[in-house]
Order: sequence, then structure tokens, then C-alpha cells
Amino acid sequence: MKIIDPHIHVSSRTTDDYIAMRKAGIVAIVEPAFWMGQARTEIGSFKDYFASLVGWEQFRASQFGIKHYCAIGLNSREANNVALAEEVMEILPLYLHKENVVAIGEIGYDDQTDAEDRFFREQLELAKEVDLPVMIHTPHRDKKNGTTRSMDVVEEHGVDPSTIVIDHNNEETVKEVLDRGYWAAFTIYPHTKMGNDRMVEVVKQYGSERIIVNSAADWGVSDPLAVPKTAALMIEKGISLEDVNLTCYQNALSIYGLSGNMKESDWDESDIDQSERYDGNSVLRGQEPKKTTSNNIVEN
Amino acid sequence: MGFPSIIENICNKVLIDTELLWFQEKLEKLKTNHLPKDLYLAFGLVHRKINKNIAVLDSSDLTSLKEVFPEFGEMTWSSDQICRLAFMLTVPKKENKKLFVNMLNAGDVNEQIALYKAIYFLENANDFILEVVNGIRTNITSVFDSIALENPFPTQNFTEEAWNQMVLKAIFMDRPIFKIPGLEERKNENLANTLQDYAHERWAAGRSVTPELWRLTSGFVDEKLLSDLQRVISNDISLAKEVAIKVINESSFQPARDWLSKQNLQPSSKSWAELGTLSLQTKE
Repeated sequence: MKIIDPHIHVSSRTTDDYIAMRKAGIVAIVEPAFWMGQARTEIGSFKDYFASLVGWEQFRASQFGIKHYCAIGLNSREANNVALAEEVMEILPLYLHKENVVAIGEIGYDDQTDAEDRFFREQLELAKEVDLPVMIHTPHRDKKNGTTRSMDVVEEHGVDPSTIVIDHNNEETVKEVLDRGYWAAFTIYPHTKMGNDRMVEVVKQYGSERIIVNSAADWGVSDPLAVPKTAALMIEKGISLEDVNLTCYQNALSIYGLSGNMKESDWDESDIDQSERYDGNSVLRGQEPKKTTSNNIVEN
Repeated sequence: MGFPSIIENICNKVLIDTELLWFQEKLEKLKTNHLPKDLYLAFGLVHRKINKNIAVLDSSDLTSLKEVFPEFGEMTWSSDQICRLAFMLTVPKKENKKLFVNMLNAGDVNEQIALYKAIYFLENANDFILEVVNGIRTNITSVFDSIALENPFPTQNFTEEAWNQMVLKAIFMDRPIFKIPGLEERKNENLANTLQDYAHERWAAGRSVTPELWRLTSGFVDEKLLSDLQRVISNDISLAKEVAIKVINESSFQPARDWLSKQNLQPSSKSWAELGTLSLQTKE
């Protein structure tokens, strides 16, 4: 079964994760720009980060047979440093037309401050201008209000809900998000977001239309295999293969495919350039990816 | 005909219908008002608008290129890369350094490739030496290849130090070095010595080295190198043996020639490029 993880911060993950992800069926991923666990203090940090999302990381992913896309944006936490945020807004247009950019994201609210509101709105306007989908992060705290407010603001700016993914939903937010015509993404992330047994129940109740599963795996205790594990659990619990395919593959492709930069043929055609294959690469440095479980030998 | 016009003509031939209309509109705009924003946007949108097929140059293109940049015809270009070059050529040379550096820093993989291939064809190409030398530090194979392979920029502009670094890295990354222009002309003793050390390190670790490596020692055979070539001739794969024999045959170091003449070995009739091609094929 083919899987897409449409929200994973792979820059924070190891090559072992990439190997496991590919083995579990993940063929494509979307890495949204976000904070690094601590605040950036210089515009140069943003430049280099965005450059790595459109350059190095997609090459690194390709070494493991995974097609890497990204979303570019100013995240809500760092919107609160207004002087720096203004500088970031100035450089964003430089990156939005890159070949693997499929959305503006992840943007939205964290503490729901005035500064967050300002840059959220400015980026919605930017999305209209460049015609890209948007990935919206909903806050951990005061989630329900924050989610409703996010959608109100989207509509105030006249952005079409069918081009928007509202992320990090739970049982409390999903109904309104779907009713208002948005894509509803769920993050399977231990302790702070959702477990995958809850996800199965959501799909049982709401079906598979416009519902998307992701891992949001990052530098925290998280699971880069959350999507394939959820797919497996859904099958085990009797959810139809069609619904599993929609929630764990096709819906992500449909929404981010609106960018024009993400197509099934990107990973289905195997005529990849020799320099992009395993051999001759500079991540594996001539080693084969590890295929077996660990033993005490460190391979030469 | 000037180089920009030749490139524009090639674009007009390799692009079709909507691609061509888009290209011509953008090109005219860039020629009239040189706005950085327009350049960034047009350059960035090429991947959405233009195909990536290999562009086939016809004989009239090659004839006109002969006058200005025959090297262009010896490189492999895709349609999108030629379009990006055409856009870059609209920028006056007084302004291009800052813009192209910005574009390199913010570039995705295919943009970086297009930029590194195009730099050689700028009037002020040698303003970009530092950038291209830094480009060699990339670990993205296709970006490295865009500088090292087929591209005449390094051989014409790199110092010996930068050149040696590039060739060594090409070998380290297992790239087909016979595709490096100037490889023969820029052989040097320092590089031969470094490569010899590299081979020893690989052998100590129980690893092999690419047969192509030995061609870079040709002309620098001495007692120490001879013992390595002897080792290759007795232990390595047949292609490496053939290369080592060729190195000794090209050498004026008499002890090496004397030793070889006693071995009753067939000299290689192949060129370095043919041996490099064979080496590449065995890897595929």
C-alpha cells in the first residue's frame, strides 16, 4: 500500500527513520516550515532553513526513494518577533515558486496574539496572490476557539476553504471543519495530539472525505511511522481499503496536488536520474541502506 | 550573431506552443526592464512552464556556436536549462553578480544546476569563481555534477588547489571523471600524490578504488607509484589492470617500462574516454 505523510519535519529525523518510512510504504512526504524548538534570532537562519527545504532535504529524501515536498511559511510562534517576522515576509516570495513547494504553511495561531493574527492574514493574502494551498496549524491551547477563529479569518480574506488544510484536529473540532468545507488533517502524535485508535473511531464516524492523517514527527518524541501504523490499524479494525487509501494517501495528493507541483508520476515513474539513485550518492557514501534489524556489527 | 541571440534561437526551436509563448513574453519583459523581481519570478516558474527534455541542437546552431562558445554544444542541456540561461543573459553584467548570488543561495536543486551550468557563458564569468568553487562543496550529486562534469568553467578558472579538490571529491563521490573537461591538461603531481594516498587508505579499509583514478597518475610514475600499479596489475579487476598498463606505457620511467616488458601483457588499445565509459558501465 502506498502512503503519503503530508506533515513531517524530516530535517529533524535520522536516516534510520527514512529507511523505515520507505519500508512501511511511504512514497511521498510534505515538510512544512516551522520553528526548530527554539526561536531563530536572525533572518539568515530562515534563509538557510528555507533553502534546505527546497534543496538538501529533498535530495536526502530521494536517497531513500521518498519524494519530498515542502510548505514554506512563517510559523505562528515566530510571528511574535515582529521585527524579524517582517523580514521573513520579505523573503518568502523568493521560495514560493520552487519546484517542490506545494503550500504555504504551517501558519496560523499559537497564542492567538495580535502579531500572530497580522502575519497569518498577510500570508493568506500571499497564498491568494501565488495561488497555493495553505496548511493551517491550530493551537494546542484554546484549540476549539483557535480553530473556529482560523476559519473565520480565512473566509474574511475570501480564500476558498477547498484549498485549505486545517491541521491537528480532534474529535471536538472535526465536525465544524468538515461542515465548512475544509480539509481536516489529524496528527497522530503521542501524548499531545491523537493516538491512532482515536483516529480509527473518527474515520468510522465521519468517513474518509477530506480527512487526512499525518505524523507531524519532529525533534520531539514522535513517530515517523504514525501514518502507516494508522493505516494498518484501520484495516485491522475493518475500515475499507478505499477509506484507508483516501485518508492515508489520496486526499493529501488531491489537496497538495492543487499546487501543480505534486503528481503521482513523481514517484510512480522509476526513470530517476542515475545521480539521484542510491549509488553514487553522498548520504549513504557507498553503503547500502540497512535492510535487516540491528546486530552488533557496524558495517564497513 | 551574439551568444544571447543564438540561445534565444535555440529556445525558439526547442519549445512548443504555450511554452514558447510564455518564454517569449517573459524574455521581452526582461529585456525591456531589468527588474530583479521579474527575473526571480520568471526563472523560478520555468519548472512549471517548460519541459525538461534534452534539447537536440541542429547543425546550424552548432555552426553559429562555433564562433562564440563551441563548448556549449559539447554539454548536455535540457530545454528548461536553456530557457533559464536565456533569462540570465538579459541581465547587464554590471548587475548580475548580486542577483545570481541571491538566486544560488535561494535556489532549489534544478535552479542551482541551471545557474552553475550557465555561469561559464556570462561575459563576466570570472566574477563568479568563488561561488563556483564553493558550489563544489555541495553534497547534492546532481548539483556537483553540474559543475564538475561537462562544464568547462573549472578547468579555465580554478586554481590548482580548487581543481584538485574537485577531482578528488569527484572520485570520492564515484562520479565518472572522464567527463571532466581539462582532466588531461590539468593533471599535476600534487593530485597524483593525493590520489595515491587515497588509494592506500581505501585498500587499508578493504575497499576498492575506481579504475579511472590511475589515469591521473600518468606522467608521474616513480618507484612508489610503480609498486601500486604492480599491485593493481596483479590483483585488481581487469579494467583496472588495463588502465595501469596504459599508465606505465605512457610513462618515461624506465624501471616501470622494463618491468612491464617482462610481464607479457597486452597493451590497451582504448582511449581514456573509452576506459572511463567502460568503468561507468560496470557501475550501472
